[in-house]
Amino acid sequence: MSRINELIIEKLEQYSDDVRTVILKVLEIASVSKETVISEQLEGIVRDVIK
Amino acid sequence: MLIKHIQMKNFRQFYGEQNIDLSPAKEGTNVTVIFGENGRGKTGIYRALMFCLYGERKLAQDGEDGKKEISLVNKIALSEAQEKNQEAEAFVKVDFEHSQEKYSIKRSLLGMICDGEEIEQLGSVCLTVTQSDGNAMNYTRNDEINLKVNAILDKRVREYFLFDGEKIERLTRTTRNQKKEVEIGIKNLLNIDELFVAGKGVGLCLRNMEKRLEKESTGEYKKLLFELTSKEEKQEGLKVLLEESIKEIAHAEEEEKDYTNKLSQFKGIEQFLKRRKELDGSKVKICTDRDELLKEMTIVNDSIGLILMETDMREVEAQLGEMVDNDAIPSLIRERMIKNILESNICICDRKIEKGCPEYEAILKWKNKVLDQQVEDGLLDTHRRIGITNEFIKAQIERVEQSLQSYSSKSQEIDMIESELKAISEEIGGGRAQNQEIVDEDLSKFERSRNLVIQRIGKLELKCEQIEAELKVIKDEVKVLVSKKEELALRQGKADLLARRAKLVREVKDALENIYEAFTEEIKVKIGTKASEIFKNLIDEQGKQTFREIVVSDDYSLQLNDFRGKPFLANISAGQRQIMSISFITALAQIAGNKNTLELPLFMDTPFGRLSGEHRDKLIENLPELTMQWVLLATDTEFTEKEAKTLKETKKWSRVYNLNGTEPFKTIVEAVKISEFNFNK
Repeated sequence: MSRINELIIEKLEQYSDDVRTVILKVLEIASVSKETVISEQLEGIVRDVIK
Repeated sequence: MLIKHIQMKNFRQFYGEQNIDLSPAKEGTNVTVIFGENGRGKTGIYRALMFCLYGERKLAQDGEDGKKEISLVNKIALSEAQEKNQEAEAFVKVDFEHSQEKYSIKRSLLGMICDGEEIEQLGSVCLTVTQSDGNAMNYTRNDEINLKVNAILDKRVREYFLFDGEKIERLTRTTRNQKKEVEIGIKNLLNIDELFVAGKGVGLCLRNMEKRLEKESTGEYKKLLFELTSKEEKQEGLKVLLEESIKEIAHAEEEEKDYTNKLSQFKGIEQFLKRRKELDGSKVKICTDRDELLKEMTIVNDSIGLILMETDMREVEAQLGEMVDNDAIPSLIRERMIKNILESNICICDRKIEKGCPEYEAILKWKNKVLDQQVEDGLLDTHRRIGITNEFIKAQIERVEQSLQSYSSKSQEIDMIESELKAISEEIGGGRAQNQEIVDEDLSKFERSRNLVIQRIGKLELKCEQIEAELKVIKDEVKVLVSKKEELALRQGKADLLARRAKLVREVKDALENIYEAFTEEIKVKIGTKASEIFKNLIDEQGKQTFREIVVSDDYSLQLNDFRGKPFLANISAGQRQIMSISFITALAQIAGNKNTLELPLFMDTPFGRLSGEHRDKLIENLPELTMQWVLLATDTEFTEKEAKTLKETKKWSRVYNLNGTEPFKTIVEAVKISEFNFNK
């Protein structure tokens, strides 16, 4: 695992479950998409987390 | 990326097909030396690699030589193709391995001569990726190939690993652009692009949500949200402006470099023009002297008849001289005296001489032999005069010969001056540069333009500083507004879905920013520590005692602290800067590779150009251990038997190539056994 991923996991521990879930999903999208796509999909992710 | 093989056909100096296999040739080795004189094609190999991997036709270093196009197709191949009325094909093929996959990329280009102009156009490109299970995929689209190659070695950081040893010290410069380059290097190589892109995407989403929230809200909450979104929009705008200004600075710095080059070229021309003026002056003087000689020579025109008769005149003088020598003239007994004897019949001894006596007859015979006195006197006078004339002719001939000699030496001097003048004309080119006044005018024009660019850079730097300061203020203001908004939402019981979602997105945004900052801070410290460790191994004993550490500053500039911990970068030599830059690059590769060295080659053109003996030795001893693969493109003056001996001792060196050039544009790559390598070649 790269240091950045280790650090993300390490740092995420101090955040709430919701924040952790959203960040992991956003990073997944960021590996293949541009910021506008991330922005659009993020709204859907957040909608799923906060219903 | 472990480069296995480079194949070039009709590329730059390489005529026909030439092949290079890179180390490791055997287990545990990773160093290849490509040895060649200047102009044999060492940089051509580096260029071939850049062309094949990225389709780049120009190197960063070409920018310094103006905007000239670099011809990639071999000149001999071009001429041969032209004779056949065909196009010349050139290609480069690079085979490499990365993460257990095999890559083979071949990029070609076509060249032709049209109306005396060399024209080149890109040909086909093909990348084959063979996975560890043997499955292979072919890519022929440029964008796909670029994506693949950039994922392995990002174009933006490639010059960290494939570089010119003498120019790499630029990394230690503290310009804003340089800091940006170091920042980009760290971020890209460490694969934190995703984090960066994610942060931007989340920010955009948050702004959209807050705008909607603002529309749906009323009163103080709406006012706060409006203020917040405005601030954040301003923040984004400023960030964009900052990026643009940095780009503008980079552009202006290039412009400044261009003017500096032009000025130095013109200063070179100025020297030539000065010399030409001197030569022109000398030429005029020598031509005048030569004309004088010609005039002098025309003075003898009047005597030309005499000169032409020189041989005859000498003969006459010699004959008359002989007569004088033999006492033929003047006669021992003069005619008048004989006549007196014969008329008085009394000899000079007072004896009577009767007519018909033998004495009388003998004297009479004498009378017949003796010349007329007038004739005799005439002959004697002629002999004297011819003697004088011959002396005159001799002097004239000597004068002409001397003049001819001087004329010939003056003519030779003029020839030499003219050939130097011709060389100067070729050197400074035709047109405007030929004229001193125009050169002076251009010089001052360039100087004015460069000063304007420098002023512009100064203004842009100031602008960047102002933007950065403003961004800092806005960041704090946003923080205050966010907490005010949260407080107000809590107080007003604002807990609708959109507000809660926006709150979550803001938390995500803050978290990503925190992670990003924490990571880059951690990495800066790690790279600094690692670079310091490597630097200590590479620097000479004196340097080891003078310097304490390399620090990657908050603004991404590289700093070198002395033993007291004080910044010392401004005082170090170009060689020390090169060592510092290499330490930074290798540290970056080590940190980016996490626990292993990053799988990237270090391809160094003129690796030791600025380094002293001790630094060379240290680099040779340590770099093979710090890199996956080390390729040195060296000349005989920088890679001698001494360097070879040190490199052999590392047991990491397994391949050496000689770039042989029998004639221009015909470099042959010759693989040589290390044990048989002749350094004096």
